[in-house]
Amino acid sequence: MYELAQRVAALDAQDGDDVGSDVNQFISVLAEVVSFGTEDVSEMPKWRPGDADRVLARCRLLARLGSAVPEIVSGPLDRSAQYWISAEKPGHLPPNVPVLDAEHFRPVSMAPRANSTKPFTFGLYTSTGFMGTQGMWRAYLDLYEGSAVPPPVWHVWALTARQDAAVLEITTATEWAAFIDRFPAETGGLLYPDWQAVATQFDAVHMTIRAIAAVQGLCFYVLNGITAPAYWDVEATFWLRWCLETYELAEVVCGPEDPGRP
Amino acid sequence: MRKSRILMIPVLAALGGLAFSALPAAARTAPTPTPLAHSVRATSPQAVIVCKAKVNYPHSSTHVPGTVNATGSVTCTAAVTTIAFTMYLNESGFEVAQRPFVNDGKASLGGNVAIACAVGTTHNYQAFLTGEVTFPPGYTPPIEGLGSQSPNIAVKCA
Repeated sequence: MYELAQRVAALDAQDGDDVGSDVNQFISVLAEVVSFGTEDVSEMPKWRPGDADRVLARCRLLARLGSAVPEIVSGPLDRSAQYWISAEKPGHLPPNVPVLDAEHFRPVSMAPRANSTKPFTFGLYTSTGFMGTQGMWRAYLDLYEGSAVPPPVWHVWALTARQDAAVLEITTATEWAAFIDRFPAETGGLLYPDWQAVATQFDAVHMTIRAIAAVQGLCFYVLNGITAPAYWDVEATFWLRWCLETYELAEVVCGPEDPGRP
Repeated sequence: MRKSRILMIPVLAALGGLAFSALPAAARTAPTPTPLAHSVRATSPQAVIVCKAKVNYPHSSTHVPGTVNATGSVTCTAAVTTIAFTMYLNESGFEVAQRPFVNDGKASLGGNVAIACAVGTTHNYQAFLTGEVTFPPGYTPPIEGLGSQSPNIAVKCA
């Protein structure tokens, strides 16, 4: 799946009957493109971003989703349809606080410098709800976690972002590469986004699935060097600052076997 | 406590798995190559249900810090009575995590097994899926086991 033509063929392996099956097909294919952290950078696939975009332009699944739900394919971000899901963490991690409020939000300005294309330790990730769903992260959880025994407990929050929040839209490999080249932080011969620098100009970065399909697991040649591979999996917006206008708990998902869990 | 696990899963390919199929009992038991048998299969080819298991590579999670996880799935060409499987994760040859999954009346089921890891360390991981599919009444065989496994690969915890 590191070969883009093969990736497009996998995405198009079945003609989706509906948006939901196309979204699940996207998640399943991209789930095969993962990071081991032990890859030899010199042997990793490297692309010119425009070439990657040209290959992905042939993808029928993305074309279908682009027509049906453009907000997750080409944007712009639907600020009134964002969802954040607090899922239980593994036992070795501090328990999640399933509450969404400014007090628990850790802005990028308080975080140590992170050499990561998708940092963990600060900010907030949301997915865009479409056609009555709670977005692709919920679809991912439903696909790979929902039938677990014992069942998970997820707190799903619906939120609206401020209209004046500065959101950078990344909808292609070309835009992703330009983004890193504009805010570069070099580590180990690869360029990562300098998130502190990004936050000087933007409140959030919206990564659409057209971009994710084109960049996941790949390095790109840019003026300042070679970009590190990224693994976003699903449409998401990474909020570097607290920009929420409204937010409310929309659903608590508990499995039927243990309905009494908090 | 760790225990060594060796799963007996024949003829597996990376990222792949075994495909099993079940036929309606009439189609499977009808004498072949009589016209009746051919006609049953020709007029309702969709009645054959094929199921396949898949395990993706273990990897450092990009959603949960300090975690190695692997996803897997069983996908059938039509809804079946039950899909049930357990995913296992081995670290350096020892089983360190397992999770069961089950659903009824669906054509597919996904799962995910994960284990904590120390950020910055590298270990070998391998994921396994083993389970069974119960086909709808009238299909033969009524129940079929299936499985898949990933390669054993080095993963650096992030």
